[in-house]
Amino acid sequence: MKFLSSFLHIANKSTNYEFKFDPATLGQSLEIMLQGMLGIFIAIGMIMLVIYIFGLFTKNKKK
Amino acid sequence: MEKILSIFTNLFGNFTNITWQMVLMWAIGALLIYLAIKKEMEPTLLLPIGFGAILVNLPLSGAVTQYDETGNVLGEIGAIDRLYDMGIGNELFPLLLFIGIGAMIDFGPLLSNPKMMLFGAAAQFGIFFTFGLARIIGFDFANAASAAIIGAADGPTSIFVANELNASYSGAIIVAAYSYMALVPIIQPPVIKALTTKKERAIKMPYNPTNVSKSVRIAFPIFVTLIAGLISNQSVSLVGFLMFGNLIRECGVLEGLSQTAQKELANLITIVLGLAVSTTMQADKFVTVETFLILALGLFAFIFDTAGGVLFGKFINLFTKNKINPMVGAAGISAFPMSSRVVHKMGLKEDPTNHLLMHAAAANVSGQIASVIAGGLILKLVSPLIG
Repeated sequence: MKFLSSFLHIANKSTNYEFKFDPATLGQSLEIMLQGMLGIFIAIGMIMLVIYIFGLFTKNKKK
Repeated sequence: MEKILSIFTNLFGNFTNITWQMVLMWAIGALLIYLAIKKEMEPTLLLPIGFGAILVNLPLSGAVTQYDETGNVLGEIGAIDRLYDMGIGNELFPLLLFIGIGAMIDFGPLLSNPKMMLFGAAAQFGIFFTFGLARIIGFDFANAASAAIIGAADGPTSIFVANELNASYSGAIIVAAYSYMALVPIIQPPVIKALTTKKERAIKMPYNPTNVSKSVRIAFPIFVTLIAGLISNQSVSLVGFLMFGNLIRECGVLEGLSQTAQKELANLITIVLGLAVSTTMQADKFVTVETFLILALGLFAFIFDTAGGVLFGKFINLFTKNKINPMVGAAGISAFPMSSRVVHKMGLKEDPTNHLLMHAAAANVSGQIASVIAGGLILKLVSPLIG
C-alpha cells in the first residue's frame, strides 16, 4: 500500500519547474553564448601567444 | 504470541517505510556499481556513488539527516550529510581533487604543439548551446547554467558551478557529469561519424614533437593561472588549484608532494567525494521529471561539445595546407584520457597506420583548461542575472 500511495503522491506532486516553450529567451542566450565562446577563445589565444613567445625567448637564450 | 508479534514489528517495521522511489534508487545504485566493476567505467567514482545511492535510500537511513514533518532535525546529522557540508557544500573536495588532477596531467604534447589548444576552446560550444536550450524549455538561469556545465565533461567543475549557483538539481548534475564521462566511448563515435567523411577520418597528422624546455613547463601553469584568472576571475580557484598541482609536478624539486597529490590525495578525496555526492541522490529529491530533463540536457551538452570540436577542425581545414584530422577536435572535451583514446581508436579503424593519439591528447588536456575557464565564464555571465 505504501508503494502505491507514494507513487500516487509523486504523480500528483507539483514541482518548482514548469515546462514551457519560451523562445523569447533565445536572444539573451545567444548573447551569453557569444560572450562565453569569445571569452574562452581570447583566454586560450592569450595563453598560446604567451607560451609561444616564452618558448622563443628560452630557445634564444640557449643559443 | 503478542510478544513475538511485538518483537517482529520492532525488527521489521522499517520494511513498511520502503517506497518505490527508494527501490528505483537501489536499482540505479546497483547499475552504477555494475558499470564500475563489470564495464570499468570511471570505477573510482561510480562505485562510491552507486553504493552511496543505496546507503542514503534505506528508509530512515542513519547515514543522512532525518527530518520530521515540520522540518526539524530528528536525532543526529547524518554522516554523509556531514561529509557533504565539509567538502562539497563549500567546494573544498573538488578543488583538492584538482590539485591531484593537475599533478597527473602532462601538458608536454600540448606545449609541443600549442595550436591544439584551440580545439579545447571550440569543444566548449555544447555548454553554451545547452544553456540556451535549457532556458527555452523553462529552466531558470541558475539551473540552466548548472545543467549546461555537465558539458564541461569535468566532475569537479560541474560540482563547483552547481554549488556556486545554488542549483536545485545538483544530484542529477553530478551523476550526469560523471556518468557521461564514463560513457564517452559510446556517446562520441556516432557524433564524429555523422559529421565526418571516411576520407576526413583517415587524414594523417605527422607528429613531430619539439623539445619543451623545463622553463616553459614551469611557466605554463603560472601563465595559465594569471590569464584565466584575469579573464574569468570566478574560475580562479578551480584553475589555480589545477595549475598548482601541475606546478608541483613540473618544478622538479617536489617529487614527494607530486606523488602524494597524484595518488594519496586524489584517492582519498575521490572516496569521500563519491560518498558525499550520494546525499543528493535521496529518492524524494532525485526521482523527478526534472532529473530526467537534466540528464537529457547533459547528453545534449556532450553531443554538441563533440560537434563543436569536429566542426572547428573542418573549419580550420578550409584555410590550412597541412590538413587536420577533424576527429581530433572531438578530443577537445575535458574527459581525459577517454576522449583521446576514442579518437585514436577511430583513426586506427580507418587506417591502421594512422596514429592520432598525441594530437588528440594535446586537444584533450587543453579541454581540461578550457572547461575550467568555461565554468568561470558561465558563473561570470549568469550570476548577475540571478535575482
